[in-house]
Amino acid sequence: MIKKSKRMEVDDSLNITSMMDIFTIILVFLLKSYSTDAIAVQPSDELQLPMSSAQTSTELAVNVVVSSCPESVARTGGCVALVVDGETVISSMEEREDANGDSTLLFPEDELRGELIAGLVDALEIKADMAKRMGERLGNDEAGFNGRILLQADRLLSFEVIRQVMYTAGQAQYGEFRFVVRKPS
Amino acid sequence: MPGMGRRGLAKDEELNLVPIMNLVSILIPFLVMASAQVQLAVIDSTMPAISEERPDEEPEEDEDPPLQVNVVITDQGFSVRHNKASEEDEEAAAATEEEGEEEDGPTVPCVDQQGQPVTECMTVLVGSACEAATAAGQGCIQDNYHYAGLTEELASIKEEFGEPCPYIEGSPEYGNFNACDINLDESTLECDRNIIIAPESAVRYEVLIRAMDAARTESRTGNPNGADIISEGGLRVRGVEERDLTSGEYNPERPSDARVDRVGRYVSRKVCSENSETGERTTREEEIHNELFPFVVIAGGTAGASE
Repeated sequence: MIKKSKRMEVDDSLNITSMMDIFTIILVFLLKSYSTDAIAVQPSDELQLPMSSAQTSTELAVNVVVSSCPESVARTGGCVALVVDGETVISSMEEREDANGDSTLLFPEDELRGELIAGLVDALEIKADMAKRMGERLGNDEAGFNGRILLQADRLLSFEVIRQVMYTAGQAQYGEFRFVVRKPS
Repeated sequence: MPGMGRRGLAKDEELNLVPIMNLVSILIPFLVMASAQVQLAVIDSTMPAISEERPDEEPEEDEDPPLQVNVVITDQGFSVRHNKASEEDEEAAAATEEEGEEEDGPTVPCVDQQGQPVTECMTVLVGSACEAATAAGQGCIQDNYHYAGLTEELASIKEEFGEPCPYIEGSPEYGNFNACDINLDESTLECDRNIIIAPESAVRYEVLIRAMDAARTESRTGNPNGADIISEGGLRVRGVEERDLTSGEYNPERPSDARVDRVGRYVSRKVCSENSETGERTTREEEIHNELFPFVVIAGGTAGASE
């Protein structure tokens, strides 16, 4: 009788040691993939960054995201075409046929002012002004305006789109580009 | 038996792991949030700034202008041009022009997977071919651009016309100088390492990035004759003549290798380091990554003049 009750007691308590083992392994794995990148990217079908052998790590800068976002997906809220630091500038791309008859995604005509992307130039000018004032007030160059842009763009976009973004950024005094790419894992 | 009882007690004693469990189970969600699914990197690039030429300043005719390489990405491949074309080349080009044969084709045409030149650089796969490619982990758009060929072409141009950076290994200055006497900054690394890439409008962004990769890297690594032997005052490659570092001459017979080649991956340079405690300044050697053309300018956009 006494023996039986003892065994019951032992069975009652949860053996936590094996669970600890599992958790320790998970902890080590998660610590390994812990990232201190300045930016985070949520990969999606419309925004696939190209692969590259580049090794330079990311840094804080104005973040411009261009995804190949057709209107059909944008309407359902699946994607946004052009985002500057989290603010939507252009909601969707327009499908147009190029000279060869292939359809490509380009910025809608009514968003463009000649070669300039009207919304982007306004957004960037505000950012540049703010950065300059911040630099003046703090009196250090690190916080000030450096003309740097982090460009995340979908790998299948045509260069026409990239060129328009670059040209617009250049007009807003952002001349240094950092193309964000994926490192092969 | 008191001793036995104590031993029995010790057996039952267990470490109380519950607080540790609490800690760990809080840490895990936090780490899951902060973990990165994709490893990111950036590629630097600047835009050609608008420079207004001043009328009172005559553009100086440089005897030996720096190497300038342009790569045009078209829908048929890469066209590589540079400003150091030899007279023979120009004569040959003139001759072909006279014969009415226009040099239309790209320098590095696209090739298919068997290495045969093709005219279509981006093949869109349809139907079963697309499904097979998706299963193999590739997209339905097949990229036929010949990146390895571009690297080869650029490496040969650089090998023939490029100058080694001042104050790095291989330059005439390298043999004998004190890095602490002169002011060395990063700009000394910008020697014949600039490239202008001009893609056509329809070229995909990915192709541009991969072309930039091809321009940066060096495909020929490793010396077939074995490891390099570093001797005093110079670098000797086994089985091959020693390079004369004082004149900066290269042995053209010497096979390309990882460490010492002009277009190789690593070269050393001298840097000045200061001891923070004693303030003593000493010169030390440092290995740097000697990429082919790491400074990329993308033609198409222009930076506005800052106010």
